[in-house]
Amino acid sequence: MKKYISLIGLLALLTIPSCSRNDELSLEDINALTPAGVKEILEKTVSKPWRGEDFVPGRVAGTWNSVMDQDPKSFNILIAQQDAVTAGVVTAMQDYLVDYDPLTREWKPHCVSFEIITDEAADKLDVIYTLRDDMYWSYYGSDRKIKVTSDDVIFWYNEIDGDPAFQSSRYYQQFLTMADGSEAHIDIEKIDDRRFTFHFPRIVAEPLLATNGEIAPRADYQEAKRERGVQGVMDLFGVNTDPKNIPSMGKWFLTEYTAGQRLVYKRNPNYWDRDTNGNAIPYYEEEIVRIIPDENTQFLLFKEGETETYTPRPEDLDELVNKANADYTMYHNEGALSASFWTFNQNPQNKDSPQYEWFTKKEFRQAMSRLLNRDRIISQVYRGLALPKLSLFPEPNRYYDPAITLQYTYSPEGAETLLASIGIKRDSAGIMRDEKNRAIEFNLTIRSESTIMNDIASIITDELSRVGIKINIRVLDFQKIVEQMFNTFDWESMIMGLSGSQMFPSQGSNVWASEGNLHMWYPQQESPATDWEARIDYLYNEGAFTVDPVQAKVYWDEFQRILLEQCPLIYLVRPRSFTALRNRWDQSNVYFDNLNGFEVTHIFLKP
Amino acid sequence: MNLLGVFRWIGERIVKPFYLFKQKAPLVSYILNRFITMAVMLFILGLAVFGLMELAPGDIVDQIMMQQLFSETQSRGGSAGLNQQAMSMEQLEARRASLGLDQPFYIQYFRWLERVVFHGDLGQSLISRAPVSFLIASRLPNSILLNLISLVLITFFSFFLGVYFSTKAGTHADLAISFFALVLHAFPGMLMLILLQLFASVTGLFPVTAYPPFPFASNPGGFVFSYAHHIFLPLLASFLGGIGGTLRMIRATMLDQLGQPYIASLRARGIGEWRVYFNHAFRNTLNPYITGSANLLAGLFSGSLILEIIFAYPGIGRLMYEAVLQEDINLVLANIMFVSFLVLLGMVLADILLAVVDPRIRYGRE
Repeated sequence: MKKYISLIGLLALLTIPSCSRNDELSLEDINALTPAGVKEILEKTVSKPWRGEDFVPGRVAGTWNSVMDQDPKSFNILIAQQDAVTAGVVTAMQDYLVDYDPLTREWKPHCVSFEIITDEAADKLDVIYTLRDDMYWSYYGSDRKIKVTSDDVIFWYNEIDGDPAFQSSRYYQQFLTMADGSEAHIDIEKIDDRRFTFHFPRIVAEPLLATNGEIAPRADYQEAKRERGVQGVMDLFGVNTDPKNIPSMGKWFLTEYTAGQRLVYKRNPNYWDRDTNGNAIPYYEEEIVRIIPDENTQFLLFKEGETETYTPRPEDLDELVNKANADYTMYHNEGALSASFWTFNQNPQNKDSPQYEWFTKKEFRQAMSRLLNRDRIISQVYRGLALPKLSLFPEPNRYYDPAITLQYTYSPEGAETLLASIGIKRDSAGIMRDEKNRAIEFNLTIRSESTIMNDIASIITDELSRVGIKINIRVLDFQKIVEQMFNTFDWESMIMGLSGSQMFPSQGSNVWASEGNLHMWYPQQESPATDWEARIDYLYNEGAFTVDPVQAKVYWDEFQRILLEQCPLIYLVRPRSFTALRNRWDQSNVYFDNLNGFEVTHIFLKP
Repeated sequence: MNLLGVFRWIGERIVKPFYLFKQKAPLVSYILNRFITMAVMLFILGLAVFGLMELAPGDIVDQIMMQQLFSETQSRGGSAGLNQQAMSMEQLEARRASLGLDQPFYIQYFRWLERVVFHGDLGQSLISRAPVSFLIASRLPNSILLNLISLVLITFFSFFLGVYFSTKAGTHADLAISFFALVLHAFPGMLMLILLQLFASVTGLFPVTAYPPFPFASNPGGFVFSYAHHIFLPLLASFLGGIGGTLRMIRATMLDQLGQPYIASLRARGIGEWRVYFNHAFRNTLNPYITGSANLLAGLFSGSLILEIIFAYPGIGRLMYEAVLQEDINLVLANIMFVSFLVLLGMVLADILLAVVDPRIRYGRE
C-alpha cells in the first residue's frame, strides 16, 4: 500500500503546481474591477519616459543576460535585410548615420554630421555628410584597427544596394519619382575620406530619411565581390564563420555563437560614443544571449533571476506586478504608436459577391467603424491597459493634429443610420438586409497565432450580431492569410497589424499609395480605383516633396482627413507595454516610453 | 538489339546472377534487397516532400518579401526610403530563379538528388546560405545523445519491469503497474513536459532548460555534471512517455509466452524457472521489441521537437521546425531524409537482428 501512496504522492507533486488558476470572472466583474485594477497596476509600476535628460556616467562591469527566440540565420549584412533576427544580431556590430529625436521632431548627428543644401531654382538638393573622425573597424582580441571612411558608405550604396544583382530591398530606395512621372537616381559622390554627398534629382521633404543607413565593412565585402562575385558576397560571414573574425564598428564584438544555445558579445572599447569620463558605452563587459524558443521558458528564466529584463505577456502581468519583495522594477509606457486594424476587401476580382457591393460603399465601412466598441476591447481584452487609436498620425509625427480625429466612433444607432442611407435595414426578425433582401453576413479572418485577436474578433462578432449582422470568424495560419492578401484575394474582412508607426508622414507609401503592394484592400491598382484614392496619391506625392512645413501641413491634413473619412483601415487600440528590469542594475539611466522604447544603452551595474 | 534481346540480356546478365547469388547467400541478398528497397523508398519520399512543399502556400521568397513588407522601419535612426516598395516583382522572380524555385518541383528534386548523390553536397540553406551539413552537424550530436539515452533507459527499465511484473500477474502490484503504465502511455507528452518544467520552477531543484548555459569547451568537467542536471527532467519526461507502451508490450508478450505449451513442457521436464524465463520466454519477447525499436528511435527523434522547444534543447527538431515554417526546402529535405533514413535503416537492422536472435527466422531457408 505504501508503494501506491508514494506513487500517488509523486503524481500529485507533479500535477499540483499546475492546478492553481484564477476563478473565471463574469463580464460585470471585469468591468467593475477594471478601473481599480488599472490604477493599481499603474501605481505599482514605474513611468519614466525619456525627455532629453543627460545620462549620468556609469562604471564598466558586469554581464547582461538576455534571450532571443530564434537562431540567427547569418552574420552577413545583406542577409540581415531579409531576416529580422539576423538584423538584430548584426546591428550590434554596426552603426547608422543620423538619429531622429521623436521628442523634438528633429534629426541630429550620430555617426555623421550633416548639411542640407537646397537649390530651389534648379529644384535639386544635396545632403553632405561628414563622418566622425574616431570610428574604426576593429577586431576582437587584436590591435588591428581600420578607420571608417566615406569609401565604406559609398561602396555599399553603389556596389551592393545599388547593384540589381544583389536584389537588395534598398535598391528601389535609390530612386525618386520625378514630377513628370519618370524615375531618377539619387547619386552619391565622395568629397574626401570623411565627407560624401547625396545628390537628389529633386527637392524632397525628408532627404535624411531616404539616405540614412548602416555602415558596412567595405574591405571584406569588396574582396568577396572581386573574388567570387554575388555568391561570394552572399556567402560571407555565414553562421559557420568564427564570429571573432567579423569586424565591428559598433558597441559589440560577437565572440561566440553556439547553434541553438547562445551568442556571446564582448564590449567594444573602441566604440566612439563615450561618457564624460571617457568610457565607451555600453558599460557592461559582456552580453550572453541564450536562444530560448518558448515564451513560457523565457518567463520562468526571468523569474529565476537568469535574465535581466522581461516584457510580460498580458497573462504574466499580475504575477510580476504583485510579487512581494521583487528584485526587479516594473516599468510601463503609454499606448503604442501603431495599432492593428480591421479592413475590408474591395478588390474587383470579387465584384460579383454581395460583400464587394457593401465593402466598396464608404457608408458601410463607416458603419463598421461605428460598431467597433474600442472601450469594450480595452476593458475586456486589455483589462483597461490600452488606449483607442483615433488619429492616423501618431503624436511624434510633425503633422499630427489633435483636431484631426476619427468621427466614426462607437454608436450602434449611428451605424444603423449610416447603413439605412445605403438601403441596409433590419427586417422584422431583426436581421440586417440590403436592398436586394440579402442578409448582411461576411467572414472576418484573423491570425491563428494570436489569442488576443480571437478575443477581439469575438467582441466584434457580438457587437455586430446585436444589430443583426452575422460575422463568421476564420482563424488562419499567417502564411495562408498572406497568400490570400497577395495572390488569391479571396478574403472578405480581416484584422491585421503592421509594424511601423508613420512617425514620418511619408512612411507607409506601400500602404496608402494606390500602386502600393500593401494597399491591401486593393493592391497594385493600375490606376486609382476611386477618386479619393487618386487624391491620396496626389497628396502623398505633394507632401513628400514639399519642404515648406506650412504648405506641407495643408497636404498632410487633408491626407489624414480623407483616410479617417473613408475608413479603408479601421484602427483598433494602442496597448500599453510593460517591462521588468532587475534591481541589480542602477536605474538612473533607464527610461521607458513609446517614442524611444526601453532606453538601457547607458545602464550600469550597481556598485 | 530488339526488345526480346533486351529482355534476354537483362535476364542473363542481371536476373540470373542475382538469383544464383540469392541461393548462395540468402541473408546477404536479403540485406542487399532491403537496402535497394530503402533507396527506392527514400527517393519516393523525397519526391513527395518536394511535391508537398510545392502545394503549401508561398515559398521562401514570399517569406523574405513578407518580412520586408511588414517591417516598416519606425525607430529613431532607422532608414526608410521614399520608395517603400521593398522588392519588385522582377526582383522576386530573379530571386526565385537564382534559388531554382522557378522550376517544376520534380526538376528541383532531381537537381537536389544529383548534387547529393554525385557531389555529396547537401546544399545551402536557402535563407542563411549556410551549408546544410554544418547546420545539421551542429545539432545532430545533441539529438543523438538525448535520444540514445532515452532509448537505453526505456529499454532497460521496460524489460526489467515488464519481465518482473509478468511473474506477478494478477497481483495488486501487477495491477498497479499496469494501471500506471496505461496512464503514462495515454498521458500527453507535452503536458508532461510542462508539468515537469513547472515542478522545476516551483521547487528550484532543477533548471527549467535542458542544456547548460555554457559550452563544453569552456569547462568539460563542469559541463558533464551540468548536462546531467539539466537533462534529468526532460529525460524523465521522455522516459515516462516511452516506458508505458514498451512495458505493457513486454509484459503482455511475456505472459503470452508463459502461457504457451512449450513453457508447460519445459516446466514439466524440470527446467528451472530462471531458465524458463530468460532462456526461453524472455528471448521470444525480443522479437516484437526489436521490430518496434526502430520505430521507437524514430519516434523519439520526431517526438523530441516539443521537448526541444519547451526545454530549449539545441536539437535537430527545432532546426527542422523552423525550416518547415520558412519553407527552406534544402534544410527540410535533408532533415526528413535523415530521419527517414534512420527509420528505414533501423528496420533493416531490426530484421537482421531478428534473424540472429530468433532461430525460427532464417532468410532463404523455408
